[in-house]
Order: sequence, then structure tokens, then C-alpha cells
Amino acid sequence: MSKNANRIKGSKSDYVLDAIVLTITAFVIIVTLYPLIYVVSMSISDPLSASRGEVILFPKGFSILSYKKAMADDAIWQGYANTVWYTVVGTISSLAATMLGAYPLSRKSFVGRKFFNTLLLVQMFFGGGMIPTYIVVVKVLGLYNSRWAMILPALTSAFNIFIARNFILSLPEELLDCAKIDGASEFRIFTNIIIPLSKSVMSVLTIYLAIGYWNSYFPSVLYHGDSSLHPLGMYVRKMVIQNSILNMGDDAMGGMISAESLLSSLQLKYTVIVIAVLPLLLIYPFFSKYMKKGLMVGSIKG
Amino acid sequence: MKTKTKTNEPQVKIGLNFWQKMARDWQLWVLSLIPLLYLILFRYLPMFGVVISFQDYKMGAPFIGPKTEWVGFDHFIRFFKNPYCWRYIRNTLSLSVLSVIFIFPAGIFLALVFNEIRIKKIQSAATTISILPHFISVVVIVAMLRNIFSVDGGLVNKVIVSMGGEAIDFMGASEWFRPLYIGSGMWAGAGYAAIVYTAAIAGIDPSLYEAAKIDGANRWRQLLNITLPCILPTIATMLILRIGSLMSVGYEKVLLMQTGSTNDVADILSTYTYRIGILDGQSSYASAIGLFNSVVNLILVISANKVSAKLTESSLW
Repeated sequence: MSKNANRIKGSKSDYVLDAIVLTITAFVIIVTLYPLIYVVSMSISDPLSASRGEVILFPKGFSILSYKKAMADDAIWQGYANTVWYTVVGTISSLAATMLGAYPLSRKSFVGRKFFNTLLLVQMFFGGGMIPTYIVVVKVLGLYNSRWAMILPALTSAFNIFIARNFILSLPEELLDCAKIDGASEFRIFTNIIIPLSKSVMSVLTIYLAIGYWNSYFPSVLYHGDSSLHPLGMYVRKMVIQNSILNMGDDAMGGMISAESLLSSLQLKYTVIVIAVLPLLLIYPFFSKYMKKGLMVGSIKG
Repeated sequence: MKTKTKTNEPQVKIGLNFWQKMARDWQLWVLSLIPLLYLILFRYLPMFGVVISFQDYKMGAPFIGPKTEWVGFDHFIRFFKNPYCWRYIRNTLSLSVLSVIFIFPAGIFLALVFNEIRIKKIQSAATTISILPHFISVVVIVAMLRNIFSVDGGLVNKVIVSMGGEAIDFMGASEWFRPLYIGSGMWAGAGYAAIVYTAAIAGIDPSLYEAAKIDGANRWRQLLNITLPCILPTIATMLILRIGSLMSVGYEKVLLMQTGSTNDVADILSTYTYRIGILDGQSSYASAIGLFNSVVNLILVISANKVSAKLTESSLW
């Protein structure tokens, strides 16, 4: 192996470089993971230890009391259910819209190609901004307190459409010609050739869209007065950031002693954070390959 | 089809006029209907809606109608006469300039460091872990930030107190807002920013390194004299593009981090637009501020792209 040869020949300074590189890498990994591990540790530690600040990295004692408390609140389940709905419906809708835009754009002979392309490019650099968009969504389209307000305002993007289009462009053109000669309609070409062959770009887009929807909460700030439509992010925002967690534990647990609930309200915040971030942490190891790939696709274009 | 014109039936196809082509492509139009409708409804209608910046718009009225009251540039003048106007602009620019100074080089640095890891498994693990925070929602990031830096019971203050120091109200102190914003931004974004440079490094011709090795260059020299110069065009492009978005700082994270007492540094153009427009319902005034921001952005992007095209021969369009 050339690597080994390199190592044997390597001078002293190469080892110094290795040492520096590994030290920095270790530092980066620790700094990245520390807050995440700490948050998890806080949430599962003994409530007393957690509130006394005895937890430094790993859990002190073990208790799932705060999970019981958090899960006794219906609103968190509502938030979860809504987030899952937005993620599933949003991802499917966005993926469909993106592919539907990408295929016609990939057809060099399509008479509307230039028009479509221009529409996509112009809006990349200039937009109406928050207020006119708000007026369109709320007043013109009447989407206030509608689930679709989470999905439609950012249904697709020029960036995603261009990524998918570039992928379709890389498919062999002969396939299309053959299908045409056999008399296939554009619809058939799209559903029976383009979609099955675009699985790899679609899987990357799916992961990105799904994470985007999972994390999305701001449309809900703008368009949802009805809290039964709020995604999980809104719940985290309300509980942890707007600090309304104190009363919640009491209501949920009924007969809890208030001093104790006050103590563990701190822990409850960490628990809510863990509940919100856990699905991502669980799927990440399996999808990280796709995610890196997606980043590459994006970066090459940039 | 154009592609077939060379072979069998040239005259027939070339002769298609515009409407015949439209008729021929009707199926493609049907396919692109949904994305086109989306663009028109959610991107171009709001774009047209910026006309309310020049009106006294009443919620619910059409953008342009018989009752429209045009006020010209009144809202813009009002904004520039606002004593806080420069504060919003300054705060917006501070956050993005600080991001460029700290987060931008961090990505390059990480890519270079990770590239020098000779054990493939560690390299891949380090990359994977460093990208992870990019996918964590901003609500969760700010929630963690607020808890860990909290004045009562936060980890950082526990450590400060245990070392004999005085607890600091990080989230409520103006001087800590920017360090926390940038720090958490770096935590969340440095690994992600590194990706584009990692891709650029992967594209460097390996023969360069081999030649250098034969000439006796050690890895320091290879890093400084091959890797770094080779990714310089990518760095330049990314930097120029980044400068193009100097005036567009997202409101989501800043809104989540605002505590009221930090508003002298944490109020930026986009959060001000949100507060005035959505919470106070002054649509026209807020829209005017948004329009001002968009126009400045547009000018920055276009100039950045011009510079990029000149210097590095790569541009967005």
C-alpha cells in the first residue's frame, strides 16, 4: 500500500502533523457530541442530581420520571403526530412537485423550457418577502389554520429542481428516443422510465426534504393560531424557549408535590429537547451516507 | 423532435411554428403544471405584492384595486428617519460579517484537517459526526443553548460558580448575544461548510502529490503548496457568494434567541420586519423594509456574481 510506504518514509514532521490533526479531530468530535450527550444525560439522571448540577457528562443515577411527565402531556403527542403528518405529506408533495418540474426542464426541445427556467431563476434572487407572502397565504389563498400552510409556501425550490433536472439530464438520451418510437406518451415516459431511473437522486431529495419538514416550525408561527396544528418544534419553543414549562408538570401529574416538580422542571426541559431530537439521532447513522452524498450533489452545483 | 431532424424528416419538424410546438408539448405542460402554479402563486404573486410598500394597504384588500391609497416612498422615508434604522442595519451586518470571519474559515480548516487524517475509519467518522448538528432543528439548538447557558442551573454557570466566579446571565446580556449566535452557528454549521472543500480536495490531481513526494516534500509542504492553492478558487467562489448574502440574516434563530434585554444587538432587519408586519399589523411599512432589504440583497448578489465571474470564471448564471 502506498499509505504504508508513505508512513515508513514519513519524516518526523509528518508525525507531528498526524498528532496535531488527530488532536484537533478529537476536539471537534468532543465539542460536537458533548452538548448532545449532556442533554440526554440530564434527561435520564436522578431529578435531584440533575437539578443540583451534579451531571457533568454522563448520567448520575437513573430516572425516567421526567419522561413520564413529559409524555403525560397530550400536547407533545399532538405535536409529534402533527410533525409526522407534515413530514410524510410534505415530503411526498415536495418530491412530486420537484420531479414534475425537473422532467420537462430536462427536455431540451420543450417549448416552455426557457420560460420555466427564467421563472425559476428570477425568484431565486428576488422574492416578495415575508409580508406579501403572508398576505397571499392568509388572505388570497385562505390557508390560515390549514395544515397545508406548513407545506405549500415552500413546496419546492429552484435548487432541488435543478439537482433533479441535472440528474435526469445525465440519463442516456437513447432511452427517451426508444420510448418515443414505441409510441409512449410523455406521461408514460415520466412514470415508467424517469421515475424508476431517478431513484438515487430521489432518495437523497427525500432525506433532505424529510429533515426539512421535521425541523420546520416557523410557518406555524405565522399561519397557525390553532395550537392543535402546531408541530413538535412549536411545542419545544413554547416549553423551553418561552419558558412555560413550570405549570405543565403539575397539571400532568396531578398530585405531585410542587417543590419536587419545580426541581424537575429544569430536567423536563432537557427531556423535551431529547424527545424532539431523538428520531433524528436514531436515523442519522443509517442515512449519513446519503446525507453526505446529497451535500456533494449540492456543492458541485454551487 | 429536434434530435431527429438530422436523420429522416428535416423539413417537417423544422417548420413547426410556436403554437404547433405548444400543441406538441401539451403533455409536458401538464406535467409542469403543479410546479408552475406553485411558482406563480407562492413566489410571483408575493413578488407582485411588494406594491403594498408604496400604499397604505388594508389587510384583506387586493394588492391593487380601486380603493388603493398610493403613498409613494413614504414608508421608506419613515424607515430611514427611524432613529433605530441604523441599529437594525448595523446588527444585521454585524451578525453576517462575524459569521464570515469565524464560520467561513472554520469550514475550510475542518476540511483541511479531516483530509490529513490517514486512518480512513476515523476520517469518515469525524466527517459524519461533524455534519450531524447541521440537521438538528434550530429550535432544538437554541433550546439547548438556552439551557446550557442558563443563569440558573445551566452547565456553564455551574462550572463558573464552582471555580469561584460569578454566574453570568448569558442569554440576557447584550455582549454575549453575538458570541453565542456565532458559537452555536459554528457548532451547527462548520462541518457542513467543510463539505464543499472536501469535494474540491477530492478533485485535486493525485499526480501533483506524487511529484511533490518525489521531490521530497513532506505533508506540511504538500498541504501548504498543493492542497491549499488547489482549493483556492473554490474558497474564492464561496467567499464571494457568501458576501452576496451579507444582508440576508435569517430571523428564525435570532427570534428564538431574543430575550428582550438584548434587543440593542439582537434586533435585525428581518426580525424587525416580522415584529412590525405580523405582530403589529403594519403591513405596508414592514413590506417596505423587506423590499429595501431584498433590493440590497439583489445588488449584493449581482455584484458578487460579477466579481466571481471575473476572478474565478465561475458564476451562478
